[in-house]
Amino acid sequence: MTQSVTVSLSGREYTVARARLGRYLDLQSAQEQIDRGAEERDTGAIAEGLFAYIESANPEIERGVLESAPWFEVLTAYQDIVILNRIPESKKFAILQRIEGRRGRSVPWHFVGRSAFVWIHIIASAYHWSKSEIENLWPEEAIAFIQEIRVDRQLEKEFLHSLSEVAYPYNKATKKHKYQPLERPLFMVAGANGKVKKTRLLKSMLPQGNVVYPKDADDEIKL
Amino acid sequence: MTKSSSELHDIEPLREIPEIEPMGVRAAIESMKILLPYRDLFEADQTLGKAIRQMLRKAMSRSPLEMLRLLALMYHKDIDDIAEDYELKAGPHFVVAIAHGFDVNNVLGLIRAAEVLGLSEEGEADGGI
Repeated sequence: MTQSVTVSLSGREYTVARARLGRYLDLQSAQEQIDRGAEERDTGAIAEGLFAYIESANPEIERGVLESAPWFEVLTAYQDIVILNRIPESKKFAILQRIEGRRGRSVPWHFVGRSAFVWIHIIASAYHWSKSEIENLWPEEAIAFIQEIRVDRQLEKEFLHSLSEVAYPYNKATKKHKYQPLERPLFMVAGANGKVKKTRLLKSMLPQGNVVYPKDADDEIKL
Repeated sequence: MTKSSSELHDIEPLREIPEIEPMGVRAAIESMKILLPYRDLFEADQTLGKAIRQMLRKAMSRSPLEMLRLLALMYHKDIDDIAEDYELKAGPHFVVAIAHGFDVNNVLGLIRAAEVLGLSEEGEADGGI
């Protein structure tokens, strides 16, 4: 795996090392700024995001250098840094492959840059490591830990759920209580490469007429 | 005495094209926003000159000022100065000036960069840089 790249800006060469979690989260925050800027077609926000991204990757690169460099040098540097910091073997992490359908939604307490705190909070609350220790992890290590933490929490919730009365709803037809397991997150059900098990349904239960799917619906769920 | 081709076609000889520096990031992003609606013309298998002429034709019905703005961005000038420079000198002068701008700032590179940044054709340009 490549650990560094050399980028050329305004006639000077800079070595950019692969980011550990702390810096990786800064890069993600700058990337968010670029994405938001692109969505709103806001030139200033995109440019600021690009500069912040490259500065975060190597603080030696000064703003003046970026402002005066030709656009293709800045864009090439940005792309090289994005490629350098891709999560290696990201396909093996089910949590990265199976993202539940909450895209675009944000919680009322969301703020810009919150995602960095979320990552650190999840790991710190489970392992009680310090912020600097967590920031020193490689991003792929952090993802593996977060996946394990989420699995642990889910299994704990399932255990507590199984002790509760609500897990055994009464069926009037059979006059019996039947265990209703807690729903698992998609990444635990489907795994990294596996597919969701298809359940057969009666034809009479299928929707009739023209079915309108959400814009971002996977083909997998379409009838 | 034989006449030059510009005399024969009753147009002013092409002026010397000034040397220009590549655009900075902000100007390039603005140019990407102007160019995106015409990306098909540049991606098609045709000469740059033909693509530019088609772009200018289309721009006339969309927003003629866009092309002046594109030129101003590539030549690091105010739009008023560019308008003054090219007043009554439409046609070949303009095409050559844009082609020269694209020579220094690769047009397909700008379109690819817009894709990398996630810029889309939709929406209104915010204007100004």
